[in-house]
Amino acid sequence: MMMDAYQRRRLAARACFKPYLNPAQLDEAIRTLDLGYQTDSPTAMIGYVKLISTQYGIDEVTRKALHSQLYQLLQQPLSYFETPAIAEPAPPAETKAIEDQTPPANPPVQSPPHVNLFTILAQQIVSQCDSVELLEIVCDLCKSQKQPLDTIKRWQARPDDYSWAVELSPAALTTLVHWLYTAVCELCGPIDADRAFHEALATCQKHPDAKQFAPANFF
Amino acid sequence: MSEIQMVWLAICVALVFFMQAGFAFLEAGAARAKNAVNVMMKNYMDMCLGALVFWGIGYGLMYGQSIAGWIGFSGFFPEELAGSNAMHLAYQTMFAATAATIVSGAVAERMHFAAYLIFSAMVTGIVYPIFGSWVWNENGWLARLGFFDFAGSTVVHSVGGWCSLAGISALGPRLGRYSRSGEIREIPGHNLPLVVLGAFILWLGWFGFNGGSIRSLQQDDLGLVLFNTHLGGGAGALGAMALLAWKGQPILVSRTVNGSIAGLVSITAGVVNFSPFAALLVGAVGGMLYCIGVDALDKRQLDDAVGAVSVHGISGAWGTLAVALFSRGDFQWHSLLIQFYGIIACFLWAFPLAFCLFKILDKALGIRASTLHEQRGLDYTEHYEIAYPEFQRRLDDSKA
Repeated sequence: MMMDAYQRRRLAARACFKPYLNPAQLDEAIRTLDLGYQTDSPTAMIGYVKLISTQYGIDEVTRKALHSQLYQLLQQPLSYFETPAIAEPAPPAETKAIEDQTPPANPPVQSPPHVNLFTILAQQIVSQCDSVELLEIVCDLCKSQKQPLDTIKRWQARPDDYSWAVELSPAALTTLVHWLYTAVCELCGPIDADRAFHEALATCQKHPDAKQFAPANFF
Repeated sequence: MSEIQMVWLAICVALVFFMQAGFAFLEAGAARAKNAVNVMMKNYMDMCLGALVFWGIGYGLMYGQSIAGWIGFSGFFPEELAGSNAMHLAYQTMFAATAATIVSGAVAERMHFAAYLIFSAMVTGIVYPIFGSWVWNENGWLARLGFFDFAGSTVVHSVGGWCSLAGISALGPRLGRYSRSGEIREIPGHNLPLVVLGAFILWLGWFGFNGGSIRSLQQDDLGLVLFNTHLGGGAGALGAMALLAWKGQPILVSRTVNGSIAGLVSITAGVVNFSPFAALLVGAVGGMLYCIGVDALDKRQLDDAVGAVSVHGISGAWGTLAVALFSRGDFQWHSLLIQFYGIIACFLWAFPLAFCLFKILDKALGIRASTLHEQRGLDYTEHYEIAYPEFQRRLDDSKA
């Protein structure tokens, strides 16, 4: 049975804000949603999150993370909201991988937009190459520029885990993106590298976080 | 010089000038869109800067009073030019710019613009004119030995070719051109019609390049020079195509037109003396040697963006040797040895000097653009302009 769109939005908003609001505040937030935000458009959802965050004093970093969290929750089926886990404030860490045209796979919870976007971009790029060889080249580039290797080593150890990216500034991630580009050029050639990065960039630009941080800034 | 010859030479000055547009189109079309402005700027400035430098310094080194046949040393910054000397200077200035601009294609897509300009000035001011004085100064030591290069297969084209070889050796290949395991990856140009148009313009200009080098309308057969030039260009393309077909490789338009240019380069040294059949053979072999040269350079991971080393260096050397192989009259081993001697002298002069200049520039300024700039394209990073702002795909364009 198709979930009622209103019901889905209420469930997603409740799951999203439950860790930060008391029950009375949560009910008020749902009422606000019912009265003024009855579409799934990114603009509406961003506006809703901003309003509730401002009203109840949720800090900016958390607010930005809530944008992507709400977006993900809106994609979930009804069965997801019936599981006990969703009663807890934890974000959808078990969320299934999102298809190709829609990001992201599993970005870290409460992470800034530039981290989410970097994760999407890097995952898409790494999935198209031999990740071991690719990260080996990235490591060589890091060494050649006499930069600390900790981050790259963590990435090499667990290529699917991007939790380390939360610690990095946009400038640092930009450098990583460039090393990634250089590595893909060495591995696959500049034509394939450009094609892969254009596709990854297009995927990032569809993500709601792209309104907060332009993915083109990585380049 | 007769009046009609002066008029003809004036036309040739314009034709050789227009070859610069040919080089610009061919090289820009063979490069990626994100580097088109940079390639065009280098070609444009070769003409602008070359004019000043060659007038000021190069002409004196090349045609001034020769010191033991090694270097001219008079007539710098000439103000008073008697008789046809001004026309001669104008014509030779175009040749100097041609020698310099050959390098711009080879080093495309990864060389800093400022460093390139300085190197270009060195080519037109020092490298080219000093070797030119050995061959075309009436007291030049190679000329006195009997070395013959009618219009510059070695003097212009091989000098440019060996300087290009020095450049690509010093710079290294473009990002991703060769894999760590030695795989060669083609980086296609963004506009093949531009490449072909450039080749057409070069061919047109070559009528002036060769035609203007005659001693006089009475002494040399202008008609034969022009016809042999044309045959050389056509045969060069056919030679390249024949080799590609024989090797079972696709007959690419870029290889075909470059084969044509290689044929024109080959024919340049002996165009006044060859029979039409000899011109055909020389051009065809020049085209084939270009194809072989490109593959040989790629095997050694020497990334020449437009094939300049093969077209101008290798085919230029072949054309110079061909003077002795196909001259009218009896074949003489002595002539062949002299031609070979001159080819070696050119390489030993141009390549090490150019390589040292590149290394000095690298230490002083840095010659290689960073990988970040290579990714973004030198158009934006060196010139803050985009060649095709309305439809060029860029990773750093937030509206993409």
